[in-house]
Amino acid sequence: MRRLVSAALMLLLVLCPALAGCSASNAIKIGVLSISSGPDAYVGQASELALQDRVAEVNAAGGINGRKLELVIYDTRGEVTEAVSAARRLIEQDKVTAIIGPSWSGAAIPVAAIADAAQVPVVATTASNVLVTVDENGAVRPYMFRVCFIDPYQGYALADFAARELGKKQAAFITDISSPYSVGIQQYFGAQFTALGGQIVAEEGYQANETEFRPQLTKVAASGADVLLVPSATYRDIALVAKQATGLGLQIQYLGVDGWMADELLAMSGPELEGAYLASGVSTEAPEFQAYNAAFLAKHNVKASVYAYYSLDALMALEYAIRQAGAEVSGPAIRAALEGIRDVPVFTSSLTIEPDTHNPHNKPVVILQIQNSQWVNVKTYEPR
Amino acid sequence: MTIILQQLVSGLSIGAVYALLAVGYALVYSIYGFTNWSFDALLVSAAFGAYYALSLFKLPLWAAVLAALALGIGLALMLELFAYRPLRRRGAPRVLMLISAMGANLALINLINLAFGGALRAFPPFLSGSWQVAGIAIGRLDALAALLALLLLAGLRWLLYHTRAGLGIRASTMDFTTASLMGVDNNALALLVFGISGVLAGVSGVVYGMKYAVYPYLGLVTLKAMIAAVIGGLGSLEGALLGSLLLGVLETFVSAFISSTYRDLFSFAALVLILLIFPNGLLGARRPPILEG
Amino acid sequence: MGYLQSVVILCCISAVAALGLAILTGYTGLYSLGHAGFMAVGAYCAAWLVMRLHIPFALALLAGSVAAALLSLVIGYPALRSRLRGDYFAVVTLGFGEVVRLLLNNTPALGGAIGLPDVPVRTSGWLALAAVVLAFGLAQAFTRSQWGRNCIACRLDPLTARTLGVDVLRTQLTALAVSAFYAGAAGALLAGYMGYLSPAMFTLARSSELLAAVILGGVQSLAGPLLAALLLTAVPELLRFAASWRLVLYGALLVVTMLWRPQGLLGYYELPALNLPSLWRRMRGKGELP
Repeated sequence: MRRLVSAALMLLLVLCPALAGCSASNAIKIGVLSISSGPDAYVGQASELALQDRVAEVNAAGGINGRKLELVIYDTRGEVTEAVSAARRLIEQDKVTAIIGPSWSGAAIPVAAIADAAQVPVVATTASNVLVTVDENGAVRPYMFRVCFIDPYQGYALADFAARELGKKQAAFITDISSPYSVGIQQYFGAQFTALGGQIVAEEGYQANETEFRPQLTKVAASGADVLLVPSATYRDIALVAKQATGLGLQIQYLGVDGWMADELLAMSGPELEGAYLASGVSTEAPEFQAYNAAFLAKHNVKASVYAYYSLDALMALEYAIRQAGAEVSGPAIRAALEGIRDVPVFTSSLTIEPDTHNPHNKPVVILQIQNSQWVNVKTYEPR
Repeated sequence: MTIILQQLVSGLSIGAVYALLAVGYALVYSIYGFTNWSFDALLVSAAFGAYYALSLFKLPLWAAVLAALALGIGLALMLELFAYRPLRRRGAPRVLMLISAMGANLALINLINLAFGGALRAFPPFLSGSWQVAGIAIGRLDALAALLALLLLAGLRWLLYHTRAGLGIRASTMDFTTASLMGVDNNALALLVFGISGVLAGVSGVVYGMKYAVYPYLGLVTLKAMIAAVIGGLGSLEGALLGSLLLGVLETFVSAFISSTYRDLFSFAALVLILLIFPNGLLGARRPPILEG
Repeated sequence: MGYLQSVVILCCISAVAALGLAILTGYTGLYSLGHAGFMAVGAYCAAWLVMRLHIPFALALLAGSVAAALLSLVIGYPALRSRLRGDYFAVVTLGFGEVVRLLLNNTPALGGAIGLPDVPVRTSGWLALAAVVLAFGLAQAFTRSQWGRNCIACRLDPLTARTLGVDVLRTQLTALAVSAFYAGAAGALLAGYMGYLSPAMFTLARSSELLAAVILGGVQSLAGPLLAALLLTAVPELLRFAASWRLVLYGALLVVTMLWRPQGLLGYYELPALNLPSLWRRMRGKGELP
């Protein structure tokens, strides 16, 4: 019996801090599904700092409608299951008003289902798969929004660039089939590339945590492809593909996607990827961001990243929606306000949300090239 | 034809590195009858050690390799002294050694993850590039790794068959208790065996770090080496080498000609099927691996 | 759904899985590193039945558990028939668990590696609590029956057990099937709680965590693994800073347990207060103190 009592006491002791944590305050809580550990930690690092800076700024100016903002940041380690349980914790424990993130489509799709059930709006930052905001039947997921372009945009733009500007005829790709993002871009690229008269000569796949790409690369080399698309947001995969291709003596024009934008990639295999082209929604090299970048670097000793930009876009969209919702700070009211965003200035540009898809309207695609292990702007595609 | 040969070369180069670790599994298994689950942690520690020796302390490559070996051996001996020996002395069931090794591995890997973070660290380029032989590319690092594996295995064979210590080890693989009664110093023997496994893990750690960059979950590959050892017949060194090369080629061919997403499925299915149908593997001893708990 | 409720549900899910594994490991002496595979079978089976055939969740849960139990016999029969145990059984189950996960990875109809979103959320706190109480009661009934005594005999000395007329293979298979049934039920509850399934939820890491809870909890005890599963799930959930240290702690505790207390925290000890079969008998007037 004594053991039973002591066990119960221990459990109580453990529960206390959790219960005490649930204190009430007047602030509007915004949850953030970040990535601050694991191999993708670079994604969350600058984003969290940028969000905290912005919230401090807003609160110093009196908050929104007289209420302060408060961020609740959870680390998802870049894993889908962690993102799902963190989203549930944000909604159930922290009772957040809205959520920013997640960055990866694989996590954003299940989070969207949870957000719909709980009626908490989510603004995804860089989750670009089509199915993040609409379901398989094309119906919009009511509580899911995003501020980045969608995969068809960059798939089409890359195919267009490869076929028209580079004059390539035979494309190959190595796709992470466990990532909806990777699969999505590959499909749209393939469709557009063949429509422009090109040919897909090798379709290779792999799954997350793969380290050996030589079997696939050998087939790419044998296929006679003159351009290789690597639609991945994991710099380890891209770097290992490049290194192993070089080891096999494969010289090929690489095409990349917005997930490539990590300085870690250049550090690992900049020389192998020299001359590669990639698509992105924004570029940290654009002149309008230089002042912000310099101030950010001086303050935090960390470089600002595109992930920070998109996080700020999401936060500013939410600020606008909360302001519009007025006194009634509820999920449905903010959802309605988000859906009504027209030409609202956010960090990277001016934002318009398409009500039937919850995607931003008219996002440009920038084509960058890796030159001397630097990102260099080459061309900007304005949407048709 | 070239493409098949190229895939064969890739497969053999993958298998050669599996062999380094698979031999370690086989050696420990043949004497102590348990799957040494801690190779993962040994390999990752060695890889991190070599990386920091190069990048932080600016040591030359040979010194970094020595540092990795020292880490591998040191950790292996620590584990033997503190995690396995007390169990052996108590005469505990062998499966408890597996649990102990698994626990130590879990703790060490996650400690490394907490201490250094999950980011990837790339070794400075070493022996990059490849030779072209009749249209087939042979990576320089791969060739070195394979050569290293063969040299180490030859050395191990020499040790086993031409030295007194080797005689003791071979006697212990036949009958641990009788060997100790006949005057084999069990504890010294254990230090030697686990020291050798530390060397094997250390060398593989450096090779893997160079091939794939250094990160805490690099050691997942040790599972493959275990499969290779099982295919070859747990407890047989030649079997481990053969199993490793076969597994490397099997994986490459599945990736290349079926689908790369089925690769691990084939590897693990091979593990299960071999154990169920053919538990002695290709070159394993006649007697079944374990007949009691 | 409150936060506390979600912690309670997660605790209950690990508790159900741990109780099942306690029968296999703590009582019968077979170490499994593949129970995540059985959880996956239960989870996907239940989710599929609810989503595609619109079967009530309780029935789907049962079906998922039965599927896991049947599958365990398919792998268990050839593995146990050859009288190979210990290490060998652990490695076979490890391979099996990974094969299940990789098969799911390559099955587009079940979402493949990307996962299965929009699984109906059906696991309530009460359902989870009821599942634990029922699981505990049934496990206690099992371990106190002739089956349970046979299991203990097979663990302590298979040879003697055989000479005493215990069918070792049948006993081990029964224990395996029961534990797989429990794992399947835990998986189905997890599916109904998360609202999302992916093969990445059922890795070798989950199998080893489960085994760790059972070993730490104690040999030949249900109360020990139950308590260990509850604590090991609740503490990292409630104290987030502890979460990153969780696996380090698991590993260190395992080594320490092996060295100094191989019977585990509550080895050979049961909580009399939770003795449901005896409580039931007493309620029916056939009082018999434990």
